Amino acid sequence: MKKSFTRRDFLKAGGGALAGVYVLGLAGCGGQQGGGGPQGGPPDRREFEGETLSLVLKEGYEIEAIQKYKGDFEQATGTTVEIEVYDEPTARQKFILDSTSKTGAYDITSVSFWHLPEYQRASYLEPLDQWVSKARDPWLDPDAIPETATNVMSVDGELYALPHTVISGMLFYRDDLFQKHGIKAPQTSADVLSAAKVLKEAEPSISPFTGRGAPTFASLGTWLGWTWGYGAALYDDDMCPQATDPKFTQGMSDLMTLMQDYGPEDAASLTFTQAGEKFSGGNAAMMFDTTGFGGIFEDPELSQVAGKVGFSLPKGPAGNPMQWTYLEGLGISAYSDNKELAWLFLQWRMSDETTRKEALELGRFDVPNLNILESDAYAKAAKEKGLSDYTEKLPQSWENITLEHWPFVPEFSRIGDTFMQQVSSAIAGGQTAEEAMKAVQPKLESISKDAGYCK
Amino acid sequence: MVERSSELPQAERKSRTPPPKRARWTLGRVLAQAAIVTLIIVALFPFLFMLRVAFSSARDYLSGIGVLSAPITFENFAAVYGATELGLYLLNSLLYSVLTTLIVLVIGSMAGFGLSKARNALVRDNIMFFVLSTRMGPPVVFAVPLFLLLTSLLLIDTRIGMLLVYTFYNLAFAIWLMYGFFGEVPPEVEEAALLDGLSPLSVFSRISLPLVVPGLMATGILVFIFTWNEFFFALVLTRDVAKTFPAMIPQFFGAFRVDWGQMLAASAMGVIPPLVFGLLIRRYLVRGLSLGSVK
Amino acid sequence: MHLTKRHYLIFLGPTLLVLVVMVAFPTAYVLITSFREFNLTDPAAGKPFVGFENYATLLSDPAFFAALWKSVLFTVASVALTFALGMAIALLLNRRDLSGTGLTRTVILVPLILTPLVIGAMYRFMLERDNGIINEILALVGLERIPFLANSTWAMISVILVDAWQWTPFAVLVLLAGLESLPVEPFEAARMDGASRWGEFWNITLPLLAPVIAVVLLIRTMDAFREFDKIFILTGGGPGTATQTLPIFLYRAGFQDFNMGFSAATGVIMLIIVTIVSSFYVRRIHAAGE
Repeated sequence: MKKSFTRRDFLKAGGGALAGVYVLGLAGCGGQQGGGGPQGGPPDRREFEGETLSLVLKEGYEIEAIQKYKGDFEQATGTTVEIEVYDEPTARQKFILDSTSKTGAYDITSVSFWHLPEYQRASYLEPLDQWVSKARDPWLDPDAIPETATNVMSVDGELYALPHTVISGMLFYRDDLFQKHGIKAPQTSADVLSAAKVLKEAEPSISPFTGRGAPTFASLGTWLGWTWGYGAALYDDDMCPQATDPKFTQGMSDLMTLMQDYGPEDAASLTFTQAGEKFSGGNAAMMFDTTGFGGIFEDPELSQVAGKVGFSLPKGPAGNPMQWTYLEGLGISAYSDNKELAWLFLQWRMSDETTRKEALELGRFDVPNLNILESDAYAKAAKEKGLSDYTEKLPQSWENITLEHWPFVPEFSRIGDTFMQQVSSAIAGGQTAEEAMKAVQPKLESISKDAGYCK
Repeated sequence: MVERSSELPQAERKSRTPPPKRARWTLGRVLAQAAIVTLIIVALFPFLFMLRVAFSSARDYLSGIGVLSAPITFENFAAVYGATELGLYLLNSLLYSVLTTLIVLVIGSMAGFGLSKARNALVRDNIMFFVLSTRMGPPVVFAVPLFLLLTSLLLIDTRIGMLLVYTFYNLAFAIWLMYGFFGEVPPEVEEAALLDGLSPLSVFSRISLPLVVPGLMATGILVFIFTWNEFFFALVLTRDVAKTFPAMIPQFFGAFRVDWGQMLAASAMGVIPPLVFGLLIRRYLVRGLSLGSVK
Repeated sequence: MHLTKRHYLIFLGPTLLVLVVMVAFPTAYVLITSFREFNLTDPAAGKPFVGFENYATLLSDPAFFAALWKSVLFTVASVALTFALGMAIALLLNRRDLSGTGLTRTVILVPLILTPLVIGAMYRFMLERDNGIINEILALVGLERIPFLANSTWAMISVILVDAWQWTPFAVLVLLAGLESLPVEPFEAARMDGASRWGEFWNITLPLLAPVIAVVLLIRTMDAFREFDKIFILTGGGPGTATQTLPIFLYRAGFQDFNMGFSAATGVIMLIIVTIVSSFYVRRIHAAGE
């Protein structure tokens, strides 16, 4: 008799296959942390001939040098360097997914400082201190890297990434307009406010001020950096939020005024690119942001205000220099199976020879190698581009860097998003800083509690 | 007696319906005609604009409306080919689309046939629902488990891995379509073949399948397009060797600025194959889209 | 025809193999993960089972309900728009007294074939406030520029419109095929009785098209609910969370916060919703088809 297919048969077949696959999946998982520590003594550069390094990088001006000059490294070592470039969120995803699966497909990754606590907690990065002390190649000159930079790229005193981008807070202003109306260069937050008032009357078609207002963590630096000038931080030492602290609120209030009353009408949505475009397009007279914009604003190909820009490192009422801290570097994956070679690459990347070419040939004037910054060739090139004013202020801006104003914890992106969403809608909705801070304080408190801080 | 006007040959069809109001341009007809023209513009404009930008230099396409009259340049295409592996990615896309279509058509038509002959309606409906449910979740939900699954099978960033994923991704849809197409085959033909002594497998391959060739083409072109256009799985499950064309688009979105020209140049090249293919056999494409809805 | 179990195994075997491996495992994984708490960036904390805690957190999270609302809003608006436009255009293309209908039928395939991601990228460029071509045209005719992607309300509108732009052709084609396969008699009879165009449409066309309409609505609803690519590249869920639909919410939880348990729970809830909604439609279609 022919039997027809019953439901039970179907379920049996399905269940069996399912169980089998699940077991397969579980069995396949698990790798180990790769390679041992440094062998001791500077490595022979050609020891790893024939090997391949895999890099996952976040796109940005700092990787141009890597892409352009990697041939130098390949020749010196006889190896191959493979690079994958993605936008920041994707690069982070790729690295985290790879680390989760422990396959060590990537040897080197870009590390944005604000993700460092997260990576470190998960033990995804190789600690670098012992490599610096035991396996230093002549390529690396530790003194050439600004001290504040290595401090930021460390957690609990241990270095985890070699910095190749050091960005600090800077105020850009239209020198031509300031001179035209007899306003002196702003050195303090009060100066900025009074200049804005004057400019609003004098130049009605231009926004006196612009900055980041977009409701994401990428804008957090502007607001926390500005308020640091007032001697206030968003979190205290126990990671308890203090958004309603009077000094903090005062700083927020001043910046809010600048964005609401003296900023462009779409201030609440400005990302750093857009805010930058306001300034470089001649539609804003001042911008508080990062040193990264210096080269861009003075480049006639990219900016319409080249040659008219002034730079200052403003301080707040408490005498603190205003911050806009952003650092980025290269780190080694804990699961890499070729850490010696990866470490060699990190050192090559920040070597004098590479960074010199980066500054002089690629025009990247804020490359964080103090040897280069102090060289004559650099000074000459800066003069030619009209950037001397800017480059002279760079080392000071780096020394100003501190992380005391910053929530250097794994939850930072959630904190940043929550805080900035409140601020952004306050700007758009005409709320006061006091109201916004009152509203965001409980939200920040619950984030801290969930994460186990602020007991 | 003819039931539907669509069953008539073209010439006769016109005489069956009331004659068009010749040359009488009522307001209604004018508006309707204008609507047609507007429709064509709206449908084509974005694509044509994309091409326009792809063939413009950065200075031009960033200057607003001036781009419409800017000189034509190939610099974006050159840059994209030089700086990225676009050629490889397009090849991968082609590989996956073609192979997945073949695999899915084979497996899917078999399943569609089997299901259409199922006697037990309850089991059939359950299986159909299970099959359909695989298409209900957004890829985002399944991305991480698939990533872990492929990792444990060492299939990340491999072409085989992607073929597996794309097969599953399209199978439900193909089965559903083929199920409908097989349902249109008159059962007498198949019964006759059975009486002649053919096994069900032979009936399938020698009788039913040839009768649903248009359905196969319809399903095939849709699977091809869906696979070609798939983004999220390609993004998460590939790195560089097995990457597809859509997965490379995000890398043009820089933090400082977006490389529109290069991105649209790459996009232009990437959408050409499915466009050409789809438009060439559009009759089947339309059939495929409308099947399952019109009996 | 009678098919033995062996036959079924041959015909359905490969399918079930693929689906069980590629679907059942991930689904089971997602289900199990939804009962665990774990974050990819905190492997040291392990993957403890926490029962329904993720669901509890989810169901008390205003952001989840906001995302749910955005999804409903997006889906309903896009489906309604697509259907209304699709119906109108299908009727338009069904006429005999217009020129260019053949060309139109070909041309509207373009939005359907283009890669959704590319469509999103294209529109992102075109909708820019300062340099986007749409705003340039608005400015040219003296209208004010619209911050399509920077303003919360406009962002949602834009995202809906872009989705409608891509998918209305689908509704058009299916409805058109439906219209063309309608029997001729009822219309002839109605015309003889002197029915108006509108009455004809409302009382004859629509009811006869009901099964086709149901299918269009089903497919569109399912697809709009899971729409990701275009929103991802157009607004990324922004500004802020203005266009954060459930898929984007899930993406952020799973791929930015790497909170796997939480995003898995979201995924399960999404699947439940879709299953309920589509079984509602499917039952309607089955009833109509019998």
